[in-house]
Order: sequence, then structure tokens, then C-alpha cells
Amino acid sequence: MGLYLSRLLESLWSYSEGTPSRVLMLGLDNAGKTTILYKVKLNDDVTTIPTLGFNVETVSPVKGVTFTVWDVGGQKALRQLWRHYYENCLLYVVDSADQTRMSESREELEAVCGSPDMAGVPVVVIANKQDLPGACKTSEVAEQLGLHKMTDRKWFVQGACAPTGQGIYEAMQELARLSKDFKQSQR
Amino acid sequence: MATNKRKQDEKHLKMLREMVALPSNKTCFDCHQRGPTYVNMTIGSFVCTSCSGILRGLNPPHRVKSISMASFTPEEMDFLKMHGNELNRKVFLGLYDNRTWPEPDSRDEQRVRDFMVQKYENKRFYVAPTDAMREEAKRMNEAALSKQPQVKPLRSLLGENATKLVVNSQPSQVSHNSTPAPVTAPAMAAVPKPTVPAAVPAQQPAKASSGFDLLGGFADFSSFGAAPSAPPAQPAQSSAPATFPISSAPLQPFSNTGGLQPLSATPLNAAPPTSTPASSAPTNFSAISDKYAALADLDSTFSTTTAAPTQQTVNWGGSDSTVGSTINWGGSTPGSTGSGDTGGSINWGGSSGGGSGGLGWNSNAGGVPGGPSAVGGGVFGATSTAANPFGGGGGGAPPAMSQAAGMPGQANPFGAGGAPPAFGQAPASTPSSFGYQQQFPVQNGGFGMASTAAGFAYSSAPATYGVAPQGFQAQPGMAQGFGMPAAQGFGPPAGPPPAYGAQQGFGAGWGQMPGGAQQPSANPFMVGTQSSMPPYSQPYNQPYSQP
Repeated sequence: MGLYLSRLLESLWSYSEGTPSRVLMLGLDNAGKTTILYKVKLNDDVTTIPTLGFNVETVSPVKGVTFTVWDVGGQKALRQLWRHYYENCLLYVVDSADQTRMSESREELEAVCGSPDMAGVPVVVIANKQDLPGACKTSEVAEQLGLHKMTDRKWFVQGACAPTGQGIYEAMQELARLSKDFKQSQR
Repeated sequence: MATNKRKQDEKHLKMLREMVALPSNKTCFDCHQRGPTYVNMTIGSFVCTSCSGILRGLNPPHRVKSISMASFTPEEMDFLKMHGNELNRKVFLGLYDNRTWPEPDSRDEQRVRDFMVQKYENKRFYVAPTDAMREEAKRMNEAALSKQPQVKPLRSLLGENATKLVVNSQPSQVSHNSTPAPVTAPAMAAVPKPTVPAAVPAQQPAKASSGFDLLGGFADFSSFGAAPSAPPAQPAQSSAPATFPISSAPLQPFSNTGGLQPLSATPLNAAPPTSTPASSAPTNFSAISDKYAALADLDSTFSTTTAAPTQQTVNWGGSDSTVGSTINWGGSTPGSTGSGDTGGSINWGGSSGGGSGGLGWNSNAGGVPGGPSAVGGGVFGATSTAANPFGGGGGGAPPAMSQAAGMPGQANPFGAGGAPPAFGQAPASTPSSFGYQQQFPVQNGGFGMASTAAGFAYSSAPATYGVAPQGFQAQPGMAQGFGMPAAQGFGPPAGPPPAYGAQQGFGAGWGQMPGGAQQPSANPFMVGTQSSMPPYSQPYNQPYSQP
């Protein structure tokens, strides 16, 4: 009974904007992570410089959803630091127009998901830069990242264009849903 | 495998660093900022961080990679070798004519971006590169790269004669004592001075330089509160100002500090070689063991000051008979003029003009007789080729530290008299010494302004104010630090303080260093006051106690 009540309370809590859940945003350098973050935060297309370290912002992309998003630099040398930020929620950003590094991106994603700390953590992949000529379609991105083989977790791919904000909010919404499911399945 | 990769990465990084060191790649291709940290892999140019951000936002975006944070494949390295800023200049700026389209200021990001849009998106200045151009670029780059690592032994460059280059020979030219020359520097030429130190025995220049050393005069703390009893041994020399090798024009502010005072009134003894009470300099502060005793005096002085605010006379090494809150830093204020000083004037080493409330940093001062260190307070602005760092005497009510007219070059670190007397803003990191290598380079910071800091913190060390060997001829071994023990706070007198420029830090190194060994030391002299007396309690190592 008490358990039931507390669950009820918690579910109510999650609808109110209580403690924001933490989201880790990863991806290769130049994928658009910081741009996405500040698009959601400021609703503005900012000119970013390559992130060294990380950016963290509390954003509320969709009504009723509050995230603390950690945006960690994606340059090669910085990827070793990713593991220090592992969370229960992963946003993985891919530059859809960068065909040549799609396999690199896949390797990194696999490395992240292979970590015990990230076992079962849902992934929302943002196939960014859909506006660019030569960008892979969302399905292609899923294909190239080998998402179909990823059976140990829930994943979702969302095409997006960071400067316009197109697709970002949908991705965030989906992430909120998946992470809620994941949290519930955890207990 | 992994180690191989790492080795390769290291090799590439090294190559990249060498490439960045090439003259054409030393500045950002897009904004010319020095020290590119990114490479634009789309066109193979070297750019700075902010431009890399802009490049990523272009349409189509350029791909940038950090030099230090990314790894490069051999193909990418080849690509970079084939391109580089030189080639890209020919390609993307091939038709560029800066008369029709001025290059934007690197600080104006929007205009930089617009320019880059023109350059890359619209390809307004684009000239299609030919293979020949690429080949040439590659050749040049490789040549430059291969040349750089070659560090030939000196001998191979100079031949066998090289051995004749002996270091010993140098001192004769530059040695501290022997050369009056430094003083003569170009600046001197401008000034007609009868008694040029040149004629003077070796020591003299040193003294002159010591005159330079404000703090030298300063150092005499014992004279701080107590009116110095010693009469100026030397008669004031009206000609003296001329002797200060200060470059021509700026001289003026100098001589008339406060504008009220006739020159003759100021004993400018620093320069005159013969005058010697001053020569006691070596006894200066840092040298003496009981240097802090002087401080004790100071302390007491200050405390007494609080007791009787009307008598606030702080005479830093100068003889002074003034009454009324006058701080005379190293200058001797003749009594007559002194009497004029009624209202809190601070005279730094100079003859205080009668002006009330004036702050004169100037140095007419000369060796202040009487002071143990006698070095003459002329530090500020005295001697040296340069320049009156402290600017002219400020007569103005707000302690404009320097009204000095255009000082030569960068001199006058203390800045012209803006209302808030900024004493030259010294970058915190630099050694505060007033370096003298040449002209009081501002960077050395004298009197760095520390906004919050208060306190006359002196570096304990003999620090700063290092006199460079050539510059002013320090007396070797003199290490005259104005070093004030940190601990010894001059307790801020409750009374009305001679505000040394409110809010203003004044960190400089004083203290003469032995032959140029410039210590990075710290701050010598920070005065910050906010309406109350500068507590002298600043801890010493802290250079400019930046906020």
C-alpha cells in the first residue's frame, strides 16, 4: 500500500516540474550538440565554438518535461571523458551529412552503450543537419549506426535541424517518455 | 597497434605544430589572430577558435578539427601540407582587394562572419587552385618543415671562428658600473644637462639610478613620520631638473609639480654626482637588518597621525617641514613651500608644490639627504632614459597622478591624469618590477593598478624595480628593496588619509636590483585606498593583488 502510494506520488511528481532528470548528450565533434542545447535553451541559433569540457543547461523543451542536459565535447581527445558523465538518459547526436564519419560515430556509440554503466539506458539518436544537401535520411542513419542490432535497450531516431529547431523537441519528448519507462522498469 | 596509433598521432601532432609555426600559418586565416588552434579540414587552413565556430556555421559547414584535441590521419596530414594558409590566401582571397572590401576587425564577430560568407559561400574572391599551386604549396611546406627541425650546431653556421665569441668580452660593454652610458640613452640627448652623469664616476650613475628608485627614497621609512632632521645637504639645484635625463617634453610636468613651486625650491639632488649624503644608498632598506625598525617608526607615525590628523606628514625619505597632511615621498620639501601644503597633498618623491591636495609623483626629488638610503626619491620619473613613469606632478585635486604630457614612448605608465588616477594597469602576471631595461616598459608594470587591493604591499624581496644593467646602472648588490615586510601593517590610520588615489593600486616594484637580475617578484608597492589610508598590510608576495 505504501509502495503504491509512493509510486503514485512519484508519478505525480514527474508531471510537475520537480527535479529535472539528467540527460547526457554525446556525439562526435561538430555534430551539433551545443547548438541543439542552446536552441532548446534559448530558442536561438547561436554560433558555437568547439566545446572543450562541457556545457550544462536546465531546459524545458516540452511542457511538463525538464531536463538537465549535459553537453560534452565530442572531439577525439575528449571522448575518453564521456564515461564520467554517464547518465540514465542518452541523447546521441549524429551529423547526417558527414557520411565519412558515420562509422566512427557508430563505434563511439557502441563503445558508450557497451559500458556496464550504460546498460539498458535508452538512446535517442538525433540525426542532425537534415537540412544539408547530402544528408542521410533518418532510416539510413539508423542503419549505419547499427541501431537495429541494438536489442538491449530502447532507441529512437529523430531527424532534426538544429538551427531551425525542427525535430529537436520531438526528440526531447521521446526521450522523456523513454527515460520514464526506463526508470520505472528499474525498480 | 594502439601504441602504433599513438605514435602516429604524436608524430602528426608534432608536424602540425611545426606547420602552425610557419609564418603564414601563424595567424588565423580568417581573422589574423595569432596562434591558430584549429584546422579547417575543408580547405586546409589554420584558424582560431572563434573562427572555427563560425566556419562550422557556414553553409555548407566547414569541418574544423582541433589541433590538440583531435587525431589526424596521414591523408589529412597530406591534405594540410598541400594547403595551408598560404595557398588558401591565393585561392579564397585571390581576387581580394582590400580597398574595395576592407577586412573586418577581428573583434567584430558579425563582420568577420559576413566576410567569411563572402569568402566561402559566395566565393567572391575565389580563384580556382591549380595543381601547380598545390604542388608548390606542398613543396614549400615540406621544405619549411624539413628545414625547421634541422637545428644545426652553431659551429657549423659560424665556422671555426665561432669559438672567439666569448661571453666574457661582453661585460666590458655592458657592465654595470662602468657605463654611465645607459643613462645617456636617447632620451638624454634631448635634454640639455650640464651635469650629466656621464662624467661621473661609476658610482654616480648608480646613484642617479637610485634616484630613480623611488622607493629608495622611499625606503627611508624612518623619515616617514618623523620629520627628517637632516637638512638637504645639497642646495637645491635649479638646474637639476635638466639633469634628469628625461626626454625632452615631458620634463615640464616634472619641474613644476603643482605648478606653484619655483624650481629652485626643489632640491633635486639625485642627479648631481657630487652630492653625497645620498650616496649612502647601500645602507638602504633591504640591506639593513633593522630595516623593519624603520617600519615600526612608520607604524607609529601612522598611529600618531591618527591621533593628530592635522599633522599628517609622511615624508618618505625626504626632508620635509611641512605641516598638514602631506605625504612627501622622497622629495624634500622645503619648509617654505611646505607651509603651503595644507591640504593633504601627496608628493611622491618630488618637490611638493605648494598645491594643496596635489599628488605629485614626480620626481624632482632628489636624493634626499638625510635619508639613510638617500637614494633620492626621484624614482618616479627621475633619471632614466625614460621616463617619469609617474607622470608629471599632479596638482589637481583629485590625485591625478600624472599630468605628464606625452611621455616618450610608452613611458609614463602611470598614465596621464585621467580623473581616477590610474597608475598604469599592469597585467597581473608580469613581474612588477618597473623594469628598466629600457624605457619603463609599461608592461613591467609599475604601479599596476589594483583595484581593490590596498596596502602598500611590498615585496619582501629586494625585488623589483630591478635596474637593468644597462638601463640605469644599478648599484650592484644594492638590492634596495623597498621591501617592506608584509606583516608589518601600517595600520590604517583612522584619520583622514592621504588617499593615494582612491581605489587605486599602485603596485610596482621598487627596490633596486642588483644588476638587472630581475626578479619576478612581486609587488612592491601597492597602494590602494579607499578613502582610508592604505593599509600597508598587504602580504607580500602578491604582486598586484589583483581583485
